Amino acid sequence: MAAPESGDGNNGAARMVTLISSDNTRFEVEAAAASLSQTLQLTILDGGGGGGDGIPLPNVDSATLSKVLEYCIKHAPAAANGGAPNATAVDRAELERFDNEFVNIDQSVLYSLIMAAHNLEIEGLQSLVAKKVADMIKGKSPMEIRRTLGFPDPTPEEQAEMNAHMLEYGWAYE
Amino acid sequence: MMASQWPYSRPTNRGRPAPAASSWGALPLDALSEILLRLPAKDLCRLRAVCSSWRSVTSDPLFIGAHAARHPGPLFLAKFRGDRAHIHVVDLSGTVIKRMPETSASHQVLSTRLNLACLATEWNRCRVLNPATGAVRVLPEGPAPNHVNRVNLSNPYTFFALGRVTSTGVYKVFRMFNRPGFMSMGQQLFELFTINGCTDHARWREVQSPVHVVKPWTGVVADGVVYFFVMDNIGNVIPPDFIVSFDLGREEWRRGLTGPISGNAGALEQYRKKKAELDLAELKGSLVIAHYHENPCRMDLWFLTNFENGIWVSCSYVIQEPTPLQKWKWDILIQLLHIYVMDLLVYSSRDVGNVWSRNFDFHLPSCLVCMWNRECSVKEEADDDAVKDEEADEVDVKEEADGANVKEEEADEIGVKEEQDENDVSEDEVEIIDPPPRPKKLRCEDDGVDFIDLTTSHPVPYLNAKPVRALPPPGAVPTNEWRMVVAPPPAELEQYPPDHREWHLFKKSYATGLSTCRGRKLLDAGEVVHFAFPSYDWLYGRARVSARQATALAEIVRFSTNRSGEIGKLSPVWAKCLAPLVSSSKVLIQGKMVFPMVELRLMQEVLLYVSFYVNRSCLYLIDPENARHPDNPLRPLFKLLKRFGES
Repeated sequence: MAAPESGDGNNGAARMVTLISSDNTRFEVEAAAASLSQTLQLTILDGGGGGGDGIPLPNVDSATLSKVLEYCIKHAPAAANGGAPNATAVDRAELERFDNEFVNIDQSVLYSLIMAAHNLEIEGLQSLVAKKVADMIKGKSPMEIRRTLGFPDPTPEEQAEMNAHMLEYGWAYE
Repeated sequence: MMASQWPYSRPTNRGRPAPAASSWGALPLDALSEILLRLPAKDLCRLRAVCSSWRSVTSDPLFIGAHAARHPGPLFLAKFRGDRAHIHVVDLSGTVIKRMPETSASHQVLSTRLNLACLATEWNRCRVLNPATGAVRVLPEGPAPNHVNRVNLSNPYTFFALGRVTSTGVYKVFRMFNRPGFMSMGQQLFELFTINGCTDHARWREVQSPVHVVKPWTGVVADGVVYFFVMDNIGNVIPPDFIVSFDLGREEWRRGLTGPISGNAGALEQYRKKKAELDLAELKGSLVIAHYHENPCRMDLWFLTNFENGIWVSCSYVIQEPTPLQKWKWDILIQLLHIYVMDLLVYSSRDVGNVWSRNFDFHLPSCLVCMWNRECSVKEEADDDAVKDEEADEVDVKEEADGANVKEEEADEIGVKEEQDENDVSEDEVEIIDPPPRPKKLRCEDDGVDFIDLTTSHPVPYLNAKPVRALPPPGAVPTNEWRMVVAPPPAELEQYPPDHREWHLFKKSYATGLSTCRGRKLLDAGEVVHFAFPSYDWLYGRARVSARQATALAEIVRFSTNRSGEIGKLSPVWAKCLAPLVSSSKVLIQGKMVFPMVELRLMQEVLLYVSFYVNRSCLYLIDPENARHPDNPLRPLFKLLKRFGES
C-alpha cells in the first residue's frame, strides 16, 4: 500500500503495477514498462495500479495484453535511456531483431495488436505494426488486399467500381 | 445445402485464419491512416479502390498533407525514351508515381516549379498541363494580330517558356518565333499568352522585341522573369554573360544586365572563348549563371540576388574522386541546372482535394546543401558518413535510386523537375561533392534514367532546320491557317567601297542615330544604310528659309535603307561634325546597321557601323603631325571617333 510513495521518480523500475485484461487476467509489470503507454502513464503517475487494485483494460484481452507487455518490457530500458544515445549498436540490432520476430504473427493477432496499441497509445508499437501491415499491403492489388485482410467479398457495385478504377489508373497497377 | 448456397466463393478464404469478417474494415481511421501513410503514393492510388473508407482516408487533405511531409522527395516530370506516349511523375528513386497519357510524342516537358507544366515542341505546338488533374490546354498556334504576316507558320522555330507572375498568381506563356534564317531576316518576334479560366477569346499578344538578338535555347524563367543570353553582334562587343530579361508581370523588357564573370576584366577574354561553359538556370527562385571549369573540374554558380544593383553571389562546387552514390548526385546537380521544376504531386485525378501541392522551396539534394546567401568557400569533407547521418532519409532514397535506375528502361527527353522541401537548409554547411570529372553534357547512360540536358535539347536552328513536325493534338482544329507569306525583299547587304584612287579608308566606328519614324521596319544586321546630307543652299526645297533655319537644317543628316526607306537621322553630335566635312568632300561615309530591328519607336537610338573615307587630297589632315593642329577641320571627327571607340 505504501508502494505509490516509494515508487516515485527514478525508483520506478522497482515499482510494479497490475493490469487487468478484459477476461479478468491480472498482469503484474514494472511501472516503467507500462508507462510506454500514454494512456496508462497518467494513471500510473497518479499512483494508480499499485497493490491490490489493478488497472482494468476492458478493451484488451489477455492474449493480446501479454503480447503488448512483451513488447513493453523489451523496450522499456531503451525508452528509459531516452532512446539511442548510449545504446550500443548491439543493443539496437537486438531490438530490431526482436521487433521483426515480434510482428511475425498471425493476422488476427496483428489486428488485435493494432487495436491495443491504438487504445493504449504505445507509439513505438503503433508504428511497428503499421509498418508491418504496410509491408503486407505494398505491391498488392485491391482485390488481393481485400483477401489478405479478410474483407467480405465485394458487392457487384464495389466490383464495378474497382474495375473502373483499374481502367483509369492502369499505370498504378504495374 | 450450404454447398449449394456458396458454390465457389469460399475457396478464396480457405486456409486463411478467419478474423471477424469486417474487422480490418472497421479499423479506426487513425490506425488506418498510420498504415497508409507509410505507403508510397503509387500504392495509395491503387489502394483507393479497396473500399470506401480507404478512399475517404486517402482523399482527406490532412492525410495528403501528412503524406507529403513524410515523403518529401523531389518529383520529376519525365518522358522516357521507351514510352513517349506518356508523361510520368517520377520520384528520386526512379519510381513512377503517376502516368499521364500524352498524345504527341514530340512534345518536350518544359515545366517550371509551378503547378502547371508546359509541353512544347520547337515547331509551334504548345500545351499546358496540370499534372494534378491531367487537364491539358492546347494553346493556339496563330500569331498575334500584328505578327500575322511576319511569321512563317509552315516552318516556325519557336521557343516557349511558362512563368508565374508572383504578384498576381497569373500564369503566362512566353513565345518567341525565331526562324531558322533569322540572321538574314533579322526578326525575332515575341508574344505572350495569359492562361486563365476563360479560353475562348484568349489569344497571343504581341510583345516588343528587345534591342538584342537573344539566344532562344538559353531561355530560363525565374520568379516571373524570362532571362536570355544574347547573340553576338557585329563587332562582338557583347560580353558572354550579358543577359536580357523580360518581366512577365509588367510585360516589358528590362534593361540588360552584365553578369559577374565579365565584370572581372582580366578574365574577360578568356571567358569569351569559353562561352559554352556558361549556362543559365533557375535555382531557389533565383537566376543562376553556371560556369563550368574543366580542369580542375569545378562549377561556379552565380546567383542573381538583386537585379537592380546587379548583385551576384557565388558558390562553388569542387568535384573530386567519385563514389557511385556521389556520382549520381552530381548528375542530379547538373541536371538541376538544366531542368525546370515542378511543384506538385499528385496521385489522383479529377477529385478536388487530391492535389498534392507543395510550395516547397527548391534546393539541391540535401547532401549538396547549398550555401548561397554568402560567399561560399569550398572545403573538403570526404567523409560520406557525416553526410549520411545528417540526412539519413535522403541518402536512403538515393541509394535505392541507383539500383532502381538500372532496371529502369533507358529514358530520354525529360523535362524534369526536382524539388524538395527545404527545412532551413543549414546555411553554414558547405557541401562537397566528389563526383567524377565529366563533361557537363555527357549523358549518364549507366543510370538508366536519362535526364536530358535542356541546353542541348534545342537543336540549333541552322543544324536542324527541318525537323519532323509535331502531330496536331487530337481535337485541335485542323489548321487551314496556311497563309501566303510574302517574302520581304532581300536586305541590301553588299556595300562597295568608293574608288580607292580617290578615297582612303580611314577608320571604322560605331555612330549613333535617332529614328525619325516608327512602326514596323525590316532592318537587318549589316544592312546598308544610305546617308542624305543637306545641301548648303539657302534654298531648301523651294522655300526660302531663314539663315537660322538653314543652319539647323544643315545639321540634319538623314539615313535610309533600300527596303524600308527613311529610318532616322544621325544624332546631332555626329551630324554637326560630319555635315560640313562631307559637303566639302573631305570625307565620305558608308554605313551599316548594327542590330536587326523590327519595330521602331520615335527617337529610338539606332546604332550604325560607319566607315570613314578621307579624300586623297586631304590625307595630310590625318597625318599624325597635323592631326592635333587646332585648325585641322577633322579634329572634331577625331574626338568623336575616340569617344565611340573606333575599331
